[in-house]
Amino acid sequence: MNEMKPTSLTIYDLDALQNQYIMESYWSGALVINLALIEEFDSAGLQWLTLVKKNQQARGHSLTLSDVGDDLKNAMALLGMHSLLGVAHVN
Amino acid sequence: MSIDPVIIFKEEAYEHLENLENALLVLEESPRDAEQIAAAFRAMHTIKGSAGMVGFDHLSYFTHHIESFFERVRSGELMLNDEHIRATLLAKDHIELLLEKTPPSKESMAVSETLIQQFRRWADLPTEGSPAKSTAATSANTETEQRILKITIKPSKECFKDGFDLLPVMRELSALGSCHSSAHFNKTLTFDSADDYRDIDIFDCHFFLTVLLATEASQSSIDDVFLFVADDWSISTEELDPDEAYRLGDLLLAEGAINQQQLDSILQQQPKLGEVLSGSGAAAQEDVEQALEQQKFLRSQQETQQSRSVPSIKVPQPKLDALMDKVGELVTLQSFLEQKARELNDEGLNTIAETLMQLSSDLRETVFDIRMLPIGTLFGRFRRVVRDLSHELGKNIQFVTEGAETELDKVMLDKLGDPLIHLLRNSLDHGIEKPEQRAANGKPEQATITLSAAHNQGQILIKVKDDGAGINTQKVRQKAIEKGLISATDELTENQIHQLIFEAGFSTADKVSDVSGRGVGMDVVRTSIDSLQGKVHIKSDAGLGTEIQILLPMTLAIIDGLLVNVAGESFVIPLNIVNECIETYASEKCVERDTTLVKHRGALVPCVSLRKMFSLAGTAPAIEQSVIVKVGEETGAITVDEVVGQFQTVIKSLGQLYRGVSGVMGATVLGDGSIAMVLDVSELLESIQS
Repeated sequence: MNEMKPTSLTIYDLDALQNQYIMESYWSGALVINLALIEEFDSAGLQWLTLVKKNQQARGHSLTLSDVGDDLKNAMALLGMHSLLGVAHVN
Repeated sequence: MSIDPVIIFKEEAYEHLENLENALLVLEESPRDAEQIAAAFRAMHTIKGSAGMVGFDHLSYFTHHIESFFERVRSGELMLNDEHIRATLLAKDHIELLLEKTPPSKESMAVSETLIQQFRRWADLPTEGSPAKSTAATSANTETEQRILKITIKPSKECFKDGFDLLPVMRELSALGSCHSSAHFNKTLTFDSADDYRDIDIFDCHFFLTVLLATEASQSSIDDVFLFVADDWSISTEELDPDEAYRLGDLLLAEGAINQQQLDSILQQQPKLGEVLSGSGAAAQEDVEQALEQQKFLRSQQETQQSRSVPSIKVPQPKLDALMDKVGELVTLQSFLEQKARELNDEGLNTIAETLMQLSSDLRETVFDIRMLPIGTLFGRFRRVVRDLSHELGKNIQFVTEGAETELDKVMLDKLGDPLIHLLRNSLDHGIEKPEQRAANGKPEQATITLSAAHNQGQILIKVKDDGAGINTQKVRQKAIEKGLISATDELTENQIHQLIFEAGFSTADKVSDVSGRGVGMDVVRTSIDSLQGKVHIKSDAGLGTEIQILLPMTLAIIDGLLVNVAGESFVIPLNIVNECIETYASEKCVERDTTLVKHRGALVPCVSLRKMFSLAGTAPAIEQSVIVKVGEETGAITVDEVVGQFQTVIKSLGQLYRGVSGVMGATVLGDGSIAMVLDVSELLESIQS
């Protein structure tokens, strides 16, 4: 199982994240993205996570998000992406 | 009974102050929470208005300024900070003083002026005289009904590239009320091949949002949220009817996830709609899930609105107590009638007795229900205590409450406040370490105290748990020897040593503090819990923390009981702890280490013979009845001659003479006028263990 551990999820990180995903993880099946180190994020970053999730699902593979902090969970809920990403939202 | 309007005003004012305090404590963590800001405003607004009506003019004048300040916070002109919240908490304490003494003393008025100046400065109000807005205008502006809005936000495709982010917009919107968002990705996106995925421009925005917002905010406040994006994004707002039942199909139709034709065709199949819609491929699984979440949100908002709109009246507690007494008398009378009907063997009378029993049982439930209050009404008070004390003691504490909705008899709730406050103070003072000490021990600097309440096998289980230093067993033992509670040669288990802290005058605090440590308190805690027919237990692990468990009956007045006989005497066992009744032959009993055991479902269960326990005359029948009971985790049996049956039991307290009798919690009057003792089963089970 492949794992990615980004430190930031903003529009400025998308190129690098997309490259890493396509080069290392796209063909590997199940993927874990560990979000423990995330310090910055924005809507574009969360959209990218959701697109990866949809792509993994379409190919019959899983995407598991681990160590999702409360701030990130709240942001996912605000953008209505928590259920798409399989993350329970706080409060 | 007519009630002085001043008393009603004061009672209501205290309730509003409690709401204010709760709101402030939430706002300390989330200063933009619109619901809590509105609650704080409402509290001040209502107190101001009512105070003026009952002649508390200075109080009305004082709260007016805080109301004006919160009006500006509400309208978004001011952002709350820690200083504002601290001052408002002080103002709340000051209002409590003003409520007790009218007209206020000069000193009190000076305090009012100091606080008023501060709030004026923050709100940038004129320095003297009239408020910035008239009361009438304020009322008109603030008494907005809550509405449920459906806001569709379609950002421009290029919004990310243009430097716009949806999150700040959504944060601002969510501060206006409770909201639920659903993201809808463009249906044109496909993921069939690697090329499909590579072709997606991840810098474009590929989704739109539907937001359900339950809010009291005006349309202009909502429009302000979208001020900077309104030109490039498509924003539409629709008000939903709060009384309408939002069906899943309608929600999916509104989202454009399905069309009317698909919906109609599937509705004709009498389905579980969600499963059929997703199973048939008419709607994507994720769309169905999101619509279900929306439906859940709408229902919860509808329930909230309904609960807000249920009219209520205030009733003085003595009236409720009198009602409860009358119900008690009715239950006793009903058992007289039942007995008489049995004796006369009159079918008609039997029917009346049965109907009356059902009626009195329903009446009892209703009266109980009226007296039940959620324990959360106490939790709010504690939050402030923990906050203030943790500041005072220089400790960093997160206070978590669970099960606030658990209901308890109002009388018990009133008596529970002081012991729980003492337990919390004790935990804060003695249990929780200073942040630096915690860090040195490898613990997070922020400690956690959890106060929880839950139903547990027909009883209420309250826990006060901390992740502090735990009880120093050696220190407790040493102190107990010094105080003569135990001798140096006594061999006690760790658990037995922990229980010593409930002994009168016991304290291990090295120095006396204002918070705790005067050696009074923990014994008072136990006495208070005992007086509520409850039990208190303590569990502690050195270095890891302490948990105090309080087990309470749900009510003290009338219970469902199981009537049993031994040697012609009647006893009542509370029905909520009875698991089953079994026949016991003398040959099936065995004795191990002075404890009689009976076989029950392949296991041996310790048993109490009431005949032996209360030294009753006569010999036991060849076949006795054993009532299997469970209290907490403990299972035991109570052996009796005969099980009579279920009995509504009005518990009367025992006189002084019988108060010390072990294993008995009270007495009740039976249908024939005789007396039956109500058993304290947990004490009986403890007697087996000891």
